[in-house]
Amino acid sequence: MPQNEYIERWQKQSGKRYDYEERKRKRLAREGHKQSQDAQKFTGLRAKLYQKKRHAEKIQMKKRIRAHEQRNVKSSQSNESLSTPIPQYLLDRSQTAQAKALSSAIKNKRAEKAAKFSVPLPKVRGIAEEEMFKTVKTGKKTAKKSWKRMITKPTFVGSDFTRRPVKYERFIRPMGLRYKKANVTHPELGVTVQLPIISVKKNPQNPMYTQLGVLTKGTIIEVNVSELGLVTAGGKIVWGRWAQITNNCENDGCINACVGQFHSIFQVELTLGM
Amino acid sequence: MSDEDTLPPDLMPAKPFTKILEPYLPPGNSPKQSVPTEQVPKVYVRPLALADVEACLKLENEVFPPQERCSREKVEFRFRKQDAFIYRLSVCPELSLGLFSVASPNPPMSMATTATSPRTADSPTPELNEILIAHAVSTKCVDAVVTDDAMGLPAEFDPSSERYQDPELLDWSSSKPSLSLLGHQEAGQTLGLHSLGVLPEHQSKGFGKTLLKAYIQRMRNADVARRIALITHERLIAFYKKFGFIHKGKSEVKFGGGDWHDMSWKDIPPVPTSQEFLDIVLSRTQRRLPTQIRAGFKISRIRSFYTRKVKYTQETFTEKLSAILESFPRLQDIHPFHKDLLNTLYDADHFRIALGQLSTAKHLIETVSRDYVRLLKYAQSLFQCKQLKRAALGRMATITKRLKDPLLYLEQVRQHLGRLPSIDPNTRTLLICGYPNVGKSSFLKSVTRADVDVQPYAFTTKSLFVGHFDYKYLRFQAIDTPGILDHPLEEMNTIEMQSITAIAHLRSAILYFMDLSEQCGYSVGAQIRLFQSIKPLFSNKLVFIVINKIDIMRPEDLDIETKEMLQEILKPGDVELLQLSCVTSEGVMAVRNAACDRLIAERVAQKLKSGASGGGAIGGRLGDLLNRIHVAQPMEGLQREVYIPDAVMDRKKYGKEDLERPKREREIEEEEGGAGVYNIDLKKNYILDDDDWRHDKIPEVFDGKNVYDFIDPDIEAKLAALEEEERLQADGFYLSDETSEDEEDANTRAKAEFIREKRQLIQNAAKMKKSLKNRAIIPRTAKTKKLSDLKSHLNSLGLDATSTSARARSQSRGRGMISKHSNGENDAMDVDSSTNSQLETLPRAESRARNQSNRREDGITTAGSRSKAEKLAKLSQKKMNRLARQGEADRHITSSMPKHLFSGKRGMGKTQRR
Repeated sequence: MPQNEYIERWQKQSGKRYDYEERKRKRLAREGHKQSQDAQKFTGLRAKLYQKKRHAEKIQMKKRIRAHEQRNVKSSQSNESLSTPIPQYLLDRSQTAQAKALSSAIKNKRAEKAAKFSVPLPKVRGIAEEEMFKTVKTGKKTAKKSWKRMITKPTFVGSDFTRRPVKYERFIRPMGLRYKKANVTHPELGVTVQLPIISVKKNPQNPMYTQLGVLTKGTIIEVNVSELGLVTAGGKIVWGRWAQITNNCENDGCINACVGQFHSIFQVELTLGM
Repeated sequence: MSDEDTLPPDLMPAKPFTKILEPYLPPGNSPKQSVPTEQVPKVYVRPLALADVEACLKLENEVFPPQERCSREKVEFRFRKQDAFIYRLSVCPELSLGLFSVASPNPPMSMATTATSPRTADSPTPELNEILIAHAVSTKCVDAVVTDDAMGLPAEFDPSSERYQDPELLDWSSSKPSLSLLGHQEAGQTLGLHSLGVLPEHQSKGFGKTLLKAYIQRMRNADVARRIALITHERLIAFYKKFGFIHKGKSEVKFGGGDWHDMSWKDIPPVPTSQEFLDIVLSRTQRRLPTQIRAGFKISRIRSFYTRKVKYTQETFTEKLSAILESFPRLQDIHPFHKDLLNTLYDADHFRIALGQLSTAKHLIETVSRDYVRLLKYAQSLFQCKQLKRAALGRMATITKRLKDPLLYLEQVRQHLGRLPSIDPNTRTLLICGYPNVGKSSFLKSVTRADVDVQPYAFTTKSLFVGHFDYKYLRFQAIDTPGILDHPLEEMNTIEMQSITAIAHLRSAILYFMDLSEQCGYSVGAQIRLFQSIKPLFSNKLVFIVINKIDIMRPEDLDIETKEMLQEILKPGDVELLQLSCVTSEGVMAVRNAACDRLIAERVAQKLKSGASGGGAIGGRLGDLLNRIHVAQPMEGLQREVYIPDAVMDRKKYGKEDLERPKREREIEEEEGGAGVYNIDLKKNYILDDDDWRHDKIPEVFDGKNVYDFIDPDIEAKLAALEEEERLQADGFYLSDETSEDEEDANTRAKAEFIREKRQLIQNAAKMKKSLKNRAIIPRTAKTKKLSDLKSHLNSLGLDATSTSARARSQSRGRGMISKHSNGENDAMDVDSSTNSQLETLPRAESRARNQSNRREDGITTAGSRSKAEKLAKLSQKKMNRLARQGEADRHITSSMPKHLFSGKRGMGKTQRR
């Protein structure tokens, strides 16, 4: 009965096939032919999978080739810091590079300044009411007047919310679409954590949606960051921070958000709005 | 397995298997549902016994083509099928299984050809014969696939010897041992399924499936082997694949013309890498589910389309993951030896964590699926549905990608597990241990056929090796362990730990090998110290110190100090010193035999001890066994005295030589001249009323009648009764004194006859009238009835019909003529009969008639004008006649759209005709 490393033992005793190496070499040599053959022959799902795989491989190959090529390229700036003096008519050449660096630095600075008062997603798609609401048509009177609406987007509903009597309830926020947590990315720290939502601060679509707690792309929410252990300049622990939703939650089944610096703008806007 | 020492195999417990089977029985065969054409037999399974050989052979002959079932004439196959069955059912009946049905008391014609087997001891219904519908017969073999050797029979097997004719004498396990590779190998870990067949008339009813499932389950429960292998033809590969068999490619077996394929079951199936896993699952979803959504699908349909995709993917993931989880052994369920071995080789924690990660992933995938199915219910558009599905599958894929490492690890474990030697922890075992390079592997090689590597350097053996041998008709396993160095347990490496595991957990005789020549590179003192340090592991085990290489150095040649040290470890008395040399093979067999003898004695003693409880009463497994051997006592042990009549008791007993002894018939025969001359008188002892009648001759036929027809014990009494009756008849006792019927009666009778006849006629007439014969029912009022019929009917009833007919006439006659007729026909005779009403109506009718002139004749003065008027009347009637109107008022429309004018194509002709 063969037991343990019997394959190795066999090879030790009897050696490999006499043409083992040759076959291996030939197989390797024909690899390209086989790939070509496959690429032409496959149909349907197999073809799709194969092409996808091949596509990824090719990207990697090209990247590697580029990396190799870049290694060989001689850059013009490399011999810039020469100890030997340069004649006047050649001095101008390095000047352009310096000027470019300067201007880009200024641009960066401006962008940074602007970024302080910008949000990650400055523009959002408008959502029509028809898309947002579905008319509820149950019951005789409700159907006749069509005054009841169901919200078709994910919502945040506070823990202290109690429903109004059915007769007076105009908007229904379905249980299945209520969310309590968001995946929040901190771009400076470079981490993503799942944090509980505290409240919805601003829905850019409509102030009513803010009230209803609708979560759409671009909505500003307040999340509980106490787990992250952030500290303010004054040394106090930060426990709530604002974040903007960056994905279409209704399509993804989850909420992704990004924290940022948008206190001032929104404080002003919010005071104006309310 | 450990029962073989004391128990014969036929006392192994047999489970009632039908109960377990019930969920497996195919729905068509369950007793509740009845197949309309054929009665479905009740089936059950049980292991086959030697008594079933005939039934098996019959089945085999019906099922397999001649070259595969191997007839007697084909000598090239070394054996005959009959012998094969006898061999397999006698050697390993527990590895076979038969599916039986109980034959009904009046079996249908198709059953006539089926093979019946005589009732065996454990069959549940004693009155009925059971019919073998299907059987599975197997043996164990050492190879992973079925080979020609495994299908053969050992050379020493002789079916004609008496032992095989009588199942009682058969105990193959204790009979002559064989080192041949042919036939059943008890140490094998593969079950070779040689014959699996279902009777042709019972095929495609699910019996094969039932039997195979039962067989697999039974063998799995019994844990007799690691895998099941069989060979099959290409067309049946798919069938076996359904039960989890793996197709291993073309078989090398030449039996029955070759062209067989190997299939094997119960190897752990390969574990795919995470990428392969993903491809398998996702492409399955893609292949198995509909892929197209067309314009105009309702949103509910789109939702369910995507929901199904999500759910199906999750189910596939779950199914695959749980299959992997199930296929690996569960550490808490296996023998401690195997558990520890797994722990040393693969790190039990790591193993457990890997499996745990798989099960967590399964759980997570289920959660994801649940969430997204819920979200899909609220999806509003096709795009949203699709995105949600995409997100769901993406998250499942992410979870699977995280399983990359555990899956790789499990695949490695699987491959390594498959190559481990199969060690049975409970059987008779010799365990060989000691320092490296002291000659452990050489000993194993010299006593067994195991192919182990022997090299002149330390740690040649890096893992456990197993070899098997027979001694005293019993199968032993010898285990070669890697060498151990003398250092604390914590510092030992994986190789050494394997040895320690084996020593600690296996119930075995331990052979501690020592090399006194110190050629191994370790001093005798070191070797003795190692023995002392691992001694705690030897508790409750037989220990032998085996001195190897005595061709170089014998214990007698040692210097005094080491000799004393050696004596020290032998002192406690439970350790025996043995000597051998593998090079010269001196003492090898002696050592083996000594160890085996002690081991057998020890095991038997232990078995008896464990069987008996503290008070000496036998309990446990031995008790179970003894309980099963039950001696039945009739009448619940009540003693019945023998009754001997007094006459018999008092009868005088004669000795053989007694002269007064009554003569026996044989003696009379001898006296009268012996056989052939003397004819025995059979009528001698007849008991009759008169002894003279004894030799009367009775004819068989007398007066043309069979005499035996007239023999009756009561004949005298019957005859007397008959004669008495005859006498009474002659005396006129039976003559009646009644007179004939009188006239009145005759009259009544005639009338009754008449009435009956009449009634019958009426009934017939009514029947005639009723029998429609496809005619419409015409109500009686609508029927015309002739006046003459009425008259004749009334006359026949004897009534006067004149007035009735007169009235009928008056009704049917034209109005204008009434007065004349009535006046004319009124008789003076009818004064009595004319009632008041009649008198009143008559003048009124007359006056009315007078007021209404006959319009047909009004204004017609001449005959010419009359004919003209008639012509005009006809003319005005013409249109109505043409349109088939009844009169001016008839506005009936028969059908507004006559079908023949409005259906079908119009041909070339007019638009109004078709």
